[in-house]
Formats: sequence, C-alpha cells, structure tokens
Amino acid sequence: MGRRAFRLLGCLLLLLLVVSCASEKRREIRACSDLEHGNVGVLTGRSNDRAVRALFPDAELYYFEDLVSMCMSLQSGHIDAFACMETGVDGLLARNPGFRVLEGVPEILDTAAVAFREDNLLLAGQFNEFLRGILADGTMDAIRANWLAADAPGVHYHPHAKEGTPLSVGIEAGQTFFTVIREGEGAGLEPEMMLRFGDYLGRPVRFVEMTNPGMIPALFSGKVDALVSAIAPTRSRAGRVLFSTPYDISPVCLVVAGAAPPQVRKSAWSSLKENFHESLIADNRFELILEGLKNTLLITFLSVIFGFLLGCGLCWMKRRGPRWAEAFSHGYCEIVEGIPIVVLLLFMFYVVFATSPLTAIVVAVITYSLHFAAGAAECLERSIESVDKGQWEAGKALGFSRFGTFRYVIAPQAVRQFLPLFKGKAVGLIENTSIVGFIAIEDMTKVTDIIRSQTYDSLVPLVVVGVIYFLIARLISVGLDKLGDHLNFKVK
Amino acid sequence: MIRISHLSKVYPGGVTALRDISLEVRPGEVISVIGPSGCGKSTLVRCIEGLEAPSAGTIETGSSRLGMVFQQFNVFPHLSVLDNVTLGPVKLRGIPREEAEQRGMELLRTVGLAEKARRMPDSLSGGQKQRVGIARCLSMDPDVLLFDEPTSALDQTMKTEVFGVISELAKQGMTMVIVTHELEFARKVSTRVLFMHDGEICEEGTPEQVFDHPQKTLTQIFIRNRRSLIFQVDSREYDLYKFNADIEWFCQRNHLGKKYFTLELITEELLTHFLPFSGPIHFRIYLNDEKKLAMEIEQESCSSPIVDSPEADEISLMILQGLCASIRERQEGASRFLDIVVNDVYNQD
Amino acid sequence: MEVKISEQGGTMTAAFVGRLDTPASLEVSRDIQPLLDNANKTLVLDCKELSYISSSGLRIFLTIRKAAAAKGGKVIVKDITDDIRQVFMMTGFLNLFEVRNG
Repeated sequence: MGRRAFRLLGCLLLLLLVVSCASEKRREIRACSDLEHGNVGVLTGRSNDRAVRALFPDAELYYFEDLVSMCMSLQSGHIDAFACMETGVDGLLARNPGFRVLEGVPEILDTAAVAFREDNLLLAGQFNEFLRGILADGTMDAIRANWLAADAPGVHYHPHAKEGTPLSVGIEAGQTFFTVIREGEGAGLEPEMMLRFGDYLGRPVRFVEMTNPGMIPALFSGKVDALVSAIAPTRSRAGRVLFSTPYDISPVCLVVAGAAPPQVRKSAWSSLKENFHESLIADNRFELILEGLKNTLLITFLSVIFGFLLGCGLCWMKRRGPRWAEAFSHGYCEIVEGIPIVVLLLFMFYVVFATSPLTAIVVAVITYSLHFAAGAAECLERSIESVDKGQWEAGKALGFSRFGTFRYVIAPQAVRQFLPLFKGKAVGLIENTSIVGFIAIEDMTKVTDIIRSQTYDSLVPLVVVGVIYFLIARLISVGLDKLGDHLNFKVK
Repeated sequence: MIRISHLSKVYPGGVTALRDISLEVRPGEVISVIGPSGCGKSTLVRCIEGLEAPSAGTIETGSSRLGMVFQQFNVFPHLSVLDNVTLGPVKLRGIPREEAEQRGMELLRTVGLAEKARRMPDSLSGGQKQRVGIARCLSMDPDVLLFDEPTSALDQTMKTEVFGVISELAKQGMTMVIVTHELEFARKVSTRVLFMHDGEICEEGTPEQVFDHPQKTLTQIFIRNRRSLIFQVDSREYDLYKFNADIEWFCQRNHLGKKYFTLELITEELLTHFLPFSGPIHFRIYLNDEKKLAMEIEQESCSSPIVDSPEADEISLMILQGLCASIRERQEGASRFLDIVVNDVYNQD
Repeated sequence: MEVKISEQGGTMTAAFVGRLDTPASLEVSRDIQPLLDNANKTLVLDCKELSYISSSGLRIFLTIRKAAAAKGGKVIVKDITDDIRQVFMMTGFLNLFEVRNG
C-alpha cells in the first residue's frame, strides 16, 4: 500500500509541475523592427510563411499545424508573433484579450481558395460560378458578418439539399479562422460557404475532418471531392490540384501579445475550474471525449484480437511452415516493424484502400492488426523458444502428437514468458492509436485537438485524455498480470 | 520386440552418427550401450524412440510401446510431480483422473517419491527429478524403456538413487536399453553389453565378456582408459595443481575416498626427486586386476635406474617405500618403466 | 600455503595452513626465518590446518630442528592429521620430533 501511495504522490507532483509550467512569460513587441531576429509562427500549408520570410529575413520561423497551438505558443512566449490573414482576426482578438495586431507591417496579400482534383474541372467551374454569385449579391458579406466579426452571432446554416450524391468536403477544424467544430458539426465561414454551394448544386454536403498532412492525399485518392482550409493557391501546388478563384483575399497581419490583460487576474484555481468547465462540461464536450474513447478502445481491442490471431499464423509459418512461408513471415515482420506506423497508416488509407468503400475505422483496425501481428508473432516465437527443446521430446516420447505436446506441455510454460512481452506490445498499441487522427478518425487525441480549437485551452483536455490513456494502459497491464498469476505454476 | 536392421544416420552437414547398425532387443533383456562420447550411442536410442529419423535402414517395434528417460530429465516443470505421471494416462488414454491419480501414486511409491506427489519439480533434487521421469514413462505402461545417459547429470548419491530404481525394474523383468557411462552399473544390471565406436557396434556380449575379456583392441583400450587416469609431463615446468585436481577427480569417480593424498604424494616425490626428465613422462593411474590402486610411469629416453639410483633423496625414498607395496623397474626400448602398486594397508580409509 | 608466526612468553608458535608441497616449501623457507632466529626458545609447529606435506616440506621441519638443536631450543609439533602422521611415521620423523596431539 505504501508504494502505491508514493506512486500516486509522484503523479500528483508531476501534474502540479505541468500546471505551473503552463504559466505565462513573454517579451513585448512594439514595432516591426522588434521582430527582425524574433520568433514568428506561421501555419503549415499556407502561403503566409513566404510573406514573413520576405518581411523578416532573419526571423526564426515556427510551423504550426493549427491556430490554437499557435495562439498558445504566443500566449506562453514561445513565439513573439504569428502571421495570419487579416480576415477574421477580429474574432481572434476578441477571444484573446492580450493579443493585438502589429501596426505598420508592409502589406502583403494572402489568398484562400478551394482545392479540387485536377481532373475535376466541372466541379471547380461550378464553384467559381457559385462564388461569383455570392460575392456579387452580398451573401458572402453576410457569411463573413455571421462568423468573423468580433461579436459574430455564428448562426448555423441549414442546408436544403438532402437527396443526391453527397459532396464530400475535407475540412480542418480549428486550423484557421474559417472553420470551427461546434456541437459536432462543421461551423464557420468555410462550412457555411460549402453548404450553400451544396444547395447550389442540389447535393447534400458531407464534411470529412482531417489533418493537414492527410489532406492532399485524400483529395488524390478520391476520399474527398474538395478541400477547404484556407489553402493558398501557390504555383507549386497548382500543378497537382485545381484551385478555385480565391474566396478570400486579405493582407497578412502579424499578431503579437500585448501587455498582460488589464482585467483582474483570476486565481489559478478558479481559472483551472473555469477551464475544466469550458473543456468538459460546456457544450457537452465530455461526450466528444467519450466518443473518442469509444473509437480508441474499438481500434485497440479489435487490433489486439485480430493482430494476435494473425500473429499466431505468422508464428506458425516461421516455425513450421514451408520454406516460402517461413521466408514470407520473416520478411513481413521485418518490413512491418521497420516502418513507422503513421507511414503504414497513411499508405493503407490513401494508397491501398484509396478507392475502397471501407470506413476509416476499418482501415485503421486492419492497419493496426497487420502491425500488431508482427509484434505478436515475435512475442510468440520468443516465448515458445524459451521453453527447453527437451520438453518437446519428452512430450513426443510420452506419446503426444506435436499439437498435443504444444497444448499440454509447451504452451503452459511459454505463456509465462509470453504475457510480459505481449503486455508491452499491447500497451504500445494504445499509444500508437493516437495518430489515427491522420486519417480523419475522431479518437481521443483528435478530440482533444478539437476541444482545444474550441476552448483555446490545452491543459485540461490534454491532462484528462492523458489520464485516460494511462488508465487504459494500466487496465491492460493489470489484466494481463492477473491472467499471468492465474496461469502461473502453483508452487507448493 | 525391437528389430533394427542396417540403421544409418547421417546428420545434415555430413556427420555420420550411425553406420549400418543391426540389433535385436528381446523381451526381458537389459542392454547397456557403452562407448566413448560421440560414438553414436545416444543417437541410437533417439532413433529407436523416433526422436530422430534414420537416414537408412529400418526399426521395427511391432506393437511394443516405448518409453524414454532423458539425460536432462525433461520433467514438466509446470505440473506437480503427480500431474507429471497422470498427464499421459488422462490426456492420451482417457483414463479418469481419479483412477490415473491412484495409479500415479503407486508408481511414485515404486520410485520412492510418494510423499513428494504434490511438490513442483523445481523443488526436487536431480535424482528425484529423474525418478519422476522414470515414473512418468512407466505411467504409459511401456514394453521397453530406453534410457539416454540417465545419470550423467547427477552426482554420486543421486546416481545411486536412480541406479536403485533401474535395478529394481530390471529385477521385475522390464526390457530396457540403457546408454550409460557408468561401467560398474552396466556390469551389474545388464544382460547384454554393446560397445559402440564411431557409429558402429564394435563388440557385444555378456558383461563378463565385454568388461573382463574384451576381444577387440578398441574395447580393451576403452575399458582400460575408463578406469585409468592418464597424464603426460614434458618438462620441469609442469602444472602440479592440475595433476592434483585430476587425481582428486579420478579418486572421486572411482570411489577411492582420500587415496588422492597418497597418489599426490607419490606423484610429487617422483617428479621432484627421481624422474630425470630426459624426455616426456607418461603417468597412468589405474585399478589393477586385483582391484588395487596401481601406477605405471614411463620415462622416455632413459636407460638408467630411477628409484634405485645412488643419488636418490633419502627422505623421498622413505616416503615412496612407505606408500608403495611394490615398485618395479623395467626397460622397454628407450623407455624406462616404473610399475607401482600402492600400499593397501595405508590405502584403507 | 601460509605460515602464521606468533610469540607468547618464551614460546614461538608457527601455524602452517594449507599444503606444504615443493612449490610452497620454497616460500615457506623464507617465512620461517624468525623461527630460526629465535631457535633458543620453545618452537611450536602447529599443524592442525596442514593438509599435505611432501619430502620438501619435511626438510623445512628438519631445518628448524637443526637450528633449535644448535641454539639449545626445543621443537614441538602439534596436532598433525592422520595422513601426515603416516608420512612422519614412514620417514622416522615421529621419533625425531616431539609430537603432541590434542
């Protein structure tokens, strides 16, 4: 009991350390010249990095995957400023009281356009036609007012089109000003624009949530028809995808953190409480986490089961199969173990199953099963080989068949070696599932990103999800230990 | 019961373990297979048991059931002693557990381990494990028991336990083939002895024939060497401690108790005060026909008396004369030989 | 092989521990110098832990005895094992030395 209490104490201390580290420290930027050797954040995959490079050749660039992380880095002083489009910056400033736009920045324009597959001229043309219409009749201005102003109402648009082939649109929640996720649905300028486009075409719109690295492959493989994520139509991209006319053109502005907010600072405890409420209770966000947990558990457990079964097959091939099977099994294990799981996942989703109707979760389960099989086969082989060869001979001499010997003599001994090895692999698998967000599955990690994008608070969601991961890992580990104790030799 | 004809075994890589072996094992026979390490004797029983596939020839076992006892015991460490002897009957012959346990306890009683029935094998000594191994074999009611060096991994007391069990089985008329290095045991228990050399049966016969009147030179050398300690000294820079260790090991192996003191003293006195080191010296320590401890020392390139020399050290000479019942010198070609019989009176423990 | 020499009153005690064979005798012949220097006293050779002795070892005993005889000292051999007693017997050392057991 004493040791357990100490462990708990250790965990608490670690948590406190994390919380205290999250406090603010930053240096004030007053003018453009202050940034000449400063640290400037930009979003990956947009063109504002070139603008920043042109303005501050000596500045250090930091690439962020999403706007939230960038805001937090500015807040904590890791970066001195970040670049973004002026459109919508008002809303951002309203949510972050300490931030302000740096004055006197030379004007460089950034644009955002919708990306289509290069052979999809028809859809691109239709969109351009539609865009011209809403720009001309003031609809676009209304959308802007609805989402981007400092006190934007953010009213959901309800599409009319319900029938017909859905138009699937890849979006990135929280990555830009233009898209947020609210109440589980896409919301913001880009989603509303696309919903209206759907109505224009008479097709319902299906949003596919994804992360930046997965977007272009998803478009190529036909998983989505269009990408909307404040993508800048650069020339290097134009060769591979087809861009619409820009739906937004605005100068690049630099956001810096001003002096600490003037309002009365809340105590750490009450702000933590507020963050907690905001991250978990408000908008029923815990439901999002539960949904993510469900996906994480589903992928983990199915992959452990299928992977184990496949692993048994691989192990059999290695030990008893014909030469080709043995060679295949060895080769398979070496290759699979040698490839980072994220590469394997993207490869499976965007290449192997690019055109198949399988859902992302099924593809994830297949991928993780294939990956886990290699590990399980290795565990099995090592544990079987740990049993003395004489035991096989003793079983045979007693009259058992090979399978009988395995069943009654070898397996009960091998399981002792097997369980600890297997435990390590299974816990590793849960950790590995945290990257399924790359193929647009809302697992716990992805859900955290979404919540962070909504609440602009990292601490609470990350800690909560971290604790959940830890608990699942402990659960598996304790479960397998118990199983091991149960199967262990009864030494008298 | 078992008829082996023209059996050969060649391992991948070209090592020939068995060459054209033909052998018949008749009911009630106890056959000991002896021979130097690597002569193929283990391979022979492993082939009979079916653990290794013959390269040529046939092994007919008819309807007889075989059981095998291993050098490394190979008891099942995850099962209790009793479960070790009931696993086969329950899982393979479908005997109800209770009945199997009753019979298992009987078997454990015959090998003297009934009180250890509930213990796990890891808590047993090597000799006890081996007896569990034997009981496990018996649980399948074998017609023939094969032993692959059953006592090689055991120390003397544990060997005795296992020998006892095997002798008991022999008395009950069990047919057995025993591969062993223990010649004294083989002599006592067997009805027939096979001497194998280089994958072939070199000589076979009753224990008396093979051990006391071997016909083949190879057999003679083997039997003689098995009971001898041989070492060679080339120069005065010899390693006395290694000889002493060898002598102690030899005495232990031949149950000679503290006689190593005498042997070490004789060896040291000869080396330090008598032998001229005119060439290599060969020592052989053995039990002679009267079962007396004897030594034969050959000094190469020497033709003058060794012990009877006028310059002999007086104290040394007294020690030698005290320790030895007889010391004889002879000349054979360029070598001078000393034949020593160790004093029996002093040898008594 | 080790020789532990101690002095108490007018008695020098040398305890021999281990095997006194030919190689060991070379060393021991140096170690016993204090005994030879004090050969006018009573010299006790404690053989309780002496497990082996060869003629070279016996010669060491003889050297000590000669020195004692020359200087008027006395040599006592204490607690010899049965094996060594046999060696003493066959070499006549049993008559040469005063041997005490117990």
